Amino acid sequence: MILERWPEIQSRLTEHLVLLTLVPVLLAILIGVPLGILAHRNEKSRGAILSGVGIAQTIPSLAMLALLLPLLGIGKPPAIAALTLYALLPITQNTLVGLAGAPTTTLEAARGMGFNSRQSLFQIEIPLAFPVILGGIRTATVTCVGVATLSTFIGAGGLGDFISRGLSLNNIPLLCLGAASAAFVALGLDGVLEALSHMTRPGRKAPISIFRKLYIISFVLVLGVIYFYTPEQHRAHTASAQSLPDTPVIRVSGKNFTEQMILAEMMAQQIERVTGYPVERKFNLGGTIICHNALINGEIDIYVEYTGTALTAILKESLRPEDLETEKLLDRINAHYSDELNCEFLSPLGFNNTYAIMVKSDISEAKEWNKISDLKSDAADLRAGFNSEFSEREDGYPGLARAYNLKFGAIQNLAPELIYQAIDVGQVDLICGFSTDGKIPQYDLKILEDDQNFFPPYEAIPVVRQEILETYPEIGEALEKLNGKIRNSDMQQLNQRAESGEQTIPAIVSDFLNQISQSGF
Amino acid sequence: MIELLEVTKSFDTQPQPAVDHFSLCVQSGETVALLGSSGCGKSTTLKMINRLLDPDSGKILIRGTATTDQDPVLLKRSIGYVIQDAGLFPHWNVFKNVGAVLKLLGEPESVVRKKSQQALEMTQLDPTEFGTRFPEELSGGQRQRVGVARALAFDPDIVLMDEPFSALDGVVRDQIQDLFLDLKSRLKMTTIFVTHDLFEALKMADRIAVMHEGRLEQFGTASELIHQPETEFVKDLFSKPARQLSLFQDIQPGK
Ligand SMILES: Nc1ncnc2c1ncn2[C@@H]1O[C@H](COP(=O)(O)OP(=O)(O)OP(=O)(O)O)[C@@H](O)[C@H]1O
Ligand SMILES: [Mg+2]
Repeated sequence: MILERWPEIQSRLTEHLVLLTLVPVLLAILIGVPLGILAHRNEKSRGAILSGVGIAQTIPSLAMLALLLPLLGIGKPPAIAALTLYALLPITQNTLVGLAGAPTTTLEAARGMGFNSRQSLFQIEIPLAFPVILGGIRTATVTCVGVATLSTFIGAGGLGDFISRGLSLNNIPLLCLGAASAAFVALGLDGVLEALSHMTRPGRKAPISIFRKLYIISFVLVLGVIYFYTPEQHRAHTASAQSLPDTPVIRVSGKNFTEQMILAEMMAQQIERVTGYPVERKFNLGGTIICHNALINGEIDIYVEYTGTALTAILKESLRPEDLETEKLLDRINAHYSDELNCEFLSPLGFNNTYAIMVKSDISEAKEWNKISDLKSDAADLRAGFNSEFSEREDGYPGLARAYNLKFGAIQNLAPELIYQAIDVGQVDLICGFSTDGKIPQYDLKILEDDQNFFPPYEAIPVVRQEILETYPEIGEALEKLNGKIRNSDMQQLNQRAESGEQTIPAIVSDFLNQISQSGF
Repeated sequence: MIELLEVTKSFDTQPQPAVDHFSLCVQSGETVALLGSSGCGKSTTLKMINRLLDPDSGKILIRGTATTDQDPVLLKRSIGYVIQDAGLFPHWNVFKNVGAVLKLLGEPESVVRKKSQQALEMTQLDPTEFGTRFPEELSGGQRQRVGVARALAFDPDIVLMDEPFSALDGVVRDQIQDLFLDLKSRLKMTTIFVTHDLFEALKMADRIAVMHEGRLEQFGTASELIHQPETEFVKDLFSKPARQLSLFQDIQPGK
């Protein structure tokens, strides 16, 4: 299990060690040491500085990451920012404590002999405080290594990826791999820093004990081995497919919301029906990044991804005008997926789960509103209910208003759970939701056509590991039969039925598959 | 050379001034002892001379110029200062401690080395044995001697010493005192040293300033203080050794 994941272990370890530990700690040193000096020298600023850096510590790690999300988005920058804030307190505090601990006679001697304030600081006070400052750096480093395991939740990578995937997939060895590596890094860095603080204490440097030397040498050796050794199986890229068994267990997965659970169940049943291969269901895995990483690391074989998400969130590219044609967009995405990630998008399932502007069906009929442009003449009198994200995002209302050159009379920011009720009771005239929401049929709403093609396409498409497609072509064939079979209205119905809780998802899915197979694959 | 005029200094911690309208005139090349009991303001007086502290009122002239008109850092670098309790830099070895002011003055490394060695020899510390030791590896007396060497290493013409020999035992103390007197007779620096040891004051000083509760009781030669005491305090202070000696003489053989 470990050898298989060698390249991933190397890259996760680098992320964890360099980006999620060394970088935040270095930033915290650059900020915290001067702050500590300022707090020491300027009594007025002391309280403000200490409570400032202390506040960061009182925010629970996950909450901190969530707070930084709107500011810095997801990925490494917010994780690095949060970790820097965590590292700041011990470093600032220890700098202050270390400087305050200098013996008064020593300071008086320095001043009395004619050291100016800067010379005294750099030649006497900081060197004397150094072991204490280093102690703060040590605390900060160990904290960072630990807290950094959480940053996987905002897609920052690191060893936490193993832990979170281990948790979602109930894969205990994978979880242990992540936890043990993080512990190894924490203990190793702690040992190195302890030796350093030993070496920098004032006065004669006692020789470093043989035990400590061995400790550090073995840490460095293990790190070295991890980085410079490449196991046999990864040396040549070709030798991977040979080990798959004749009757495979296909691992089908999905993200953590209703629609994805329905789609995952649907693919699982379809594979079972058509190919007879046993299926392992790994549903409710997590967000996009977690599913994606699980797929490209071979922990799952299949899940359903949306084209717009694949393009922007995974490939981090922006939409071009020609991408409005699903086929061209798919070619573009698949070029990356098959060449770099060894995965492939099959054919679209048929529905497009994008943003949608909707109004009540009866009103749309009365006013003959069919397209978004039809709203233009009445826009000034209309009240819109949006969630706050849609109101703010450039690919939300601001962009929409520009594309259609319209401006609604009033915008109400509503919580997503309340939006449908608000339009139902007539508090607002139009809302924005997702085109496959189960509530659309429930509340009898009409989606207005996006005639300017402002919203990017979010076509739902199964994405499968190439290894599976090549070794068991039946699987690809079975799933291709779903191509175009789920219309937006179908998906709305399925979501509504699943959310009502009257039937289980497997039963709903089974009904649906029966229905479409009768109408002929 | 050093002149204190009506110098007064109070601390917030106590109502009566630590130094109270204190005046003193020290001639060039002269050695003056500040003699007085613990807490009478000796260290405070010394610190005002090199501007570690500034007086509340009064004036101090050094080399004819008011200290307030001189750059405080440069003033300090021109005065040898032996701090009470030595105050060595714990992260530097003995050589580095002794050479500190020479370094601040921008002397080249070879000069720093040579003068530090001479200063250590002067205080009877073998440079090869002690030079690379750290303060924590010295006895209290050795530390004090490094403190003295540090103040003398750059040949200052003014030296302020705050109880420089208090941690030394009788024999070494006597030797160091002799060495200092010898050095003095050659270099002729102006020295003010603090002590509460009457005999040290008598042996080392040209003139003695007796301090009591922040005030100057009397300033004069040993002879003047013994034979013409101006206050009860001075009279008492200088007659005490004689009384103690008589205790000693009263002890009969065989008893
Ligand atoms: N920084 C300070 N803050 C407050 N009070 C002080 C300070 N320094 C000295 N004092 C007080 O001023 C008085 C004189 O102190 P000083 O250090 O001059 O005494 P001293 O004569 O040198 O005594 P010793 O022989 O014990 O060293 C003492 O009562 C002391 O408590
Ligand atoms: Mg004193």
